[in-house]
Formats: sequence, structure tokens, C-alpha cells
Amino acid sequence: MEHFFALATPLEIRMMLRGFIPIVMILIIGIFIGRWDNSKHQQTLNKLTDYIFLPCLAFSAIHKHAFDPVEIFSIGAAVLMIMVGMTVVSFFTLRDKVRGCSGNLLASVYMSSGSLLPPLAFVLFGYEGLAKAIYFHLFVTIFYYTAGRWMVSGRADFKSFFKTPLFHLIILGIAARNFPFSLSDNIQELSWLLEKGIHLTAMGSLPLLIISFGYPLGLLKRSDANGGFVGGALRIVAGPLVALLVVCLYRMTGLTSMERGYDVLGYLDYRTTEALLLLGAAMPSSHRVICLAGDAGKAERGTILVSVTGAVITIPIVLLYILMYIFEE
Amino acid sequence: MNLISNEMLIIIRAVLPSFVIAFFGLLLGKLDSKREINQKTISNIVYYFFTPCLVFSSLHKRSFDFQEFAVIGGAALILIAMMTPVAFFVKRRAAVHENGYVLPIIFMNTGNISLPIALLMFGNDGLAKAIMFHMMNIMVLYSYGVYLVSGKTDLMQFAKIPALWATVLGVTAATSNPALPGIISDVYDIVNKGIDVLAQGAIPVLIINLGYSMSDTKLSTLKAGLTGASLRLLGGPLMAFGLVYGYRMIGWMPVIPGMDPLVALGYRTSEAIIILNAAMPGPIMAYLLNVKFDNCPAKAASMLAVGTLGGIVTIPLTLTLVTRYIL
Repeated sequence: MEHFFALATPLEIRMMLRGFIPIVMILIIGIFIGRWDNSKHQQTLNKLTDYIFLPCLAFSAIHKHAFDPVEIFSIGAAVLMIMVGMTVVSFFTLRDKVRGCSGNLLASVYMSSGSLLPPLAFVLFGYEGLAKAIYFHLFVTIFYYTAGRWMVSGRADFKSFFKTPLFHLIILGIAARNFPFSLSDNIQELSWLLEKGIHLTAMGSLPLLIISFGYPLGLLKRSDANGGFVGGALRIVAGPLVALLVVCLYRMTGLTSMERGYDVLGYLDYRTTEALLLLGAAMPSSHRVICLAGDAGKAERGTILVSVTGAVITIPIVLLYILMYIFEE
Repeated sequence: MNLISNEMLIIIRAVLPSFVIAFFGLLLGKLDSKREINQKTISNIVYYFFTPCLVFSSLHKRSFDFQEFAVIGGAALILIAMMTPVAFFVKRRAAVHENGYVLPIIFMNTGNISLPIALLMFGNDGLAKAIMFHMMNIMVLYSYGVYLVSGKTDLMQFAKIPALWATVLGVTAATSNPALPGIISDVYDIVNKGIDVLAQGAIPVLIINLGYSMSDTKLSTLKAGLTGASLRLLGGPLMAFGLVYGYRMIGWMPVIPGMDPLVALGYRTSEAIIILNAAMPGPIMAYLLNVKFDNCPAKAASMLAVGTLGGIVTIPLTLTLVTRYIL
């Protein structure tokens, strides 16, 4: 480990810290607010983020981002592989404990792609990273409503996915980006005003998403960690390792070309996608598991606590790896 | 023929996005029929974290001019002082006994609506000036306003305003520019980055909270707030125009542009910010204080609703006058 850090240049370490520490600062504020509030009003933050802020962020990111079906496919397929890989690994590791405790399995598979990933992606990789993070979250959400619900209740609920504002605003964002007809000046002006309002809201979502993630963590106790070491460690260690395998597979099959060529921007775009996949897979367990699993048991709480605490160490390592090996030729 | 002039277009572009966001809040309020959203949690996040970060983030990045602060802060004080007797006169005419009635008339919503408009219309410089006005407005609201509705002034509460401390820190950071050693400078940069991200949350969350508050206002109750809201929306900017011309007459605001166009633009922006803030409807905080001290909350809510709706028309009109006669 010491050797790994010694390889990083001061600039790389500084870039990593500038992206990561502000997020941790805001996360601590979220935990503080949760403790202060006794985490009684999680629904308030969930509704604000689910109905307004996250959809606005998705629209704002997607409609500024060039529509590329290959990119969407590669992120979607990667999410599927990461999720399936993690489900298999988690199932075999936790199989003695899974019976009657499917929430814990879910906690080790399902990452917080909608709360921590977008702000981190935006701070580190700008709008390009943000748009990719939104696609990543979209596919994780599909998993949440299908396999996730099936794991917990034995029934998938794909219909509910189509009712989420996030899905509608992403479709709207893609449609707005690719609208084939020229509009009259007045309509263009109106849509500009609407976009400006959505953009202002989107920028406000970044701190709110992190706070909404930290808010329920305020209730977790140190003793909760006992039952969650294996699940938590799987989430933050096995997650990025599975993602690394996917990235290697993509490079081998040529889906994310390693050829720099003349198109430097295209090359950077591939690397950002890879970085995003690694970062997304390294996220700690989602606080939403608590909502999905109902009254979360000790193991789920432990998995969340261990993964969040451990992520303070593993995310910087993944970030340094990204800066040192993904963006370097 | 253009129906809307370019000037008007700039104003609409600055004003309407805020109302679009308020509409999202209103929509959320309508969807949340069981009232599961706890506004106190949102208010606490904004009050204790987002607003102080916005204040610090806006103030520490620009050079601080005490004269400018005196002019803008002084204007806020004078406008509040000018509106107070008028509000009490209206209160007596309306045969209302509770002092809570005058709060939404005297004080302005310098946070939710004014800050985004200042940012969109005048950029970061305008935002910093609007924050100076906002700070003076909330300081008087938390001292004199609390006294009006509760009969006592709680100076301890006043000292606990987080935005006040953020102002002090922001001004200190802007005025002192010490050469920090490498590692401390890096830490300062990283902390600033976190503060900037938090600051971005202030404006949209404030406006969504405003829209959400308005979602349970019924049309039948609006009549009660018509007089107070009209006075706030029409009387406020009139007084501000008078004040700005008064400033010019005594020489606090030079009329002649002078050699430096940026300095002249700074003066005109200060004037525009004073008038813009004076044109704002009553603040939500006034309503929350009325609820807290059970002092005429229904009429205050009605005044806020009428004022905010009326502001859709009067704020662009005021800004048109500002661009024509001030800028």
C-alpha cells in the first residue's frame, strides 16, 4: 500500500483530495443533521431528491451531453456485469447468512449510485462524468426495481421504474438534445427559461444528495458494525475489482479503444467511462437498502456502516488508481 | 416587430427561472397531499449550512468595500425604518391588533427571490451586494422583528445567526490576505471547494421551500393580504427610488460616471440591488415568526401568497424602470 501511494505524484494526490475531501465534509454535515434530527425525516430528503433534484440533475446533465447509443450500451452492459458479478460473489460469501436476511445481500450488491456518485463524478470529471454517472445510476435503478425487489420480496416491480421522475426526465433530456425540428424563437426562449430553472435546481442537488445519504447514517451505532464486516468489505473491495475485470474485458474486446489516435477527446471519453465504472462500483452500500428492506436488520446496518467507513479509505485508492493507470497511457 | 424589447428579455430571463423553480416546489406541495415533507428539516439545512456557505462563498472571493457595505446596509435600514410607520398606519386602519400583521409589510424577501435574480441579472458582483442587503434585512428581522411579535428582544438569538458569522468570516477572508504556507493553503482551497458545493444548494432549496409553502394557500384567503402585499410591492420600490435619488443628491452615489467605467457600474449595480430588494414581497421568515409566537399567522400567509404572485408582475416592471433610469 505504501508503495502504491509512493508511486502517485503530488499532483495526482492533490487532484484526488480536491475531489474527495469536500464530499466527505458534506457527508459529515449530513450525518450531523441526521443525528440532530434523530433521522426522523428521511422521507423529506428522499422526496425532495427523488421528485425534484435528481430528475433535474439528470435532465441538465443528459441534455448537454452528446447522445451516444454505444456509450449508453457500454455503461448499461457494464452495470449488468458488475451487478451479476457482485450478486454471485455476495451470494456465495454470505450464503450461510442470506436465509431470512436478503436485505444484507442487497446491501453488499447495491451501491449508492444516486447520492454519492453524481457529486463525486461532477467534481472530478465535470459534466461528461456527471452524464455518465446518471446513466450508471439509471441502470442501477433498473436493477433496484427488478432484481433488488425480487431479492427482498420475491417479486420484481418493473412497472414502478417507469413511474420514476428520473426515468421521465432522462428520456426528456435525450429528446431535448436530439429534437429534430427547428422551433420558433418564442418557444426556444421559453425552453431556455425552463432549462435555466432546471439547471439552477440541478446544481443545488449536489450537496442535497450527499446530505440525504449521510442523514440516516447518523442513527447507526458502532456496535452495528459487528455483523457487517463481510458484506461491507465485499461492497467496497469486490465491487471495484469486478469493475476492473469489466474494464479489462472492454479493452480486450475493443469496446473502449486504447488507441489514442487523432481524436484526443474520443480517447478521453473512453477513459472517463472506464473511470466512472470503477468509481461507481467502489461506492458504499446505498442507504436506500434500509427503505427497501423495511426495518433494516443489524446485518444490513452493519454492511452500510462498514462500507461507508471503509470507503473513506478505498475510494481515494480507487481514485488514485484511476488517475495513475486509467488516464495515463 | 418584436413584442418584447431586448431589455425586457434580459429581465424576464433573470426573473422567470426563479418562478420556474418555485413552481417545482408548488408542484411538490400538491403531490405531497399527506404533508410528509418536513419543512423544518429543509429550513434547518438552509439556515445552518447552505445560506452561511453562500454568504461566505460570495463575500470572500471579492474585495470588500466598507463604504459599499455602509451604503447598501444603510439603505436596508432606512427602507425598513421608512416602511414601519406606514405599516402601522395600515394595521390601525385594518383594525388589527397583533403586531405580526406588519412584519410581511416591513421586511423583504431578500433571500428566496432576490438572490437568484441578482445573480442572473448582475452576476457574482450583484449577488455579493444582494447578500449585504440580505444580511442587514435578516439582522433587523431577528432583532426588531422578534421584538415586534414577542414583545422582547433576544440578543442571544441574534448572536446565533449562522449567516452573521459567515459574513464576519467572509469579510475577514476578503480583507486580510495572509500568505498561507503550502499545506494550509491546500487545506483552505479544499475546504473552500466544499463550501462552494454547499453554497450551490442555497438558492434552489430556498425557492423550492417557498413554492412548497405556497401550495396549501387557498384562493379564498388571498383577499385578506391584498392591502399589505400591494403596499410591500408598490410602496417598497417607490421608497427605494426616492432613497437612491437622495443618495445621489447628498453625493453618496456619484451621478457623473467618472474615469473608471467599472467603478461607475459598481455604483449603479448597488442602486439597482437596493431597488430590487425593496420590490420584494414579504419574507417567509416573517410568517414563521408569526407562527412561532402565534401572532396573526393567517393574514401573514395571505400577504406572502399575494405578494409572491404579484411579484411575478411587479418585479419585472421594477427592473424595467431600473434598467431605464438607473443603469
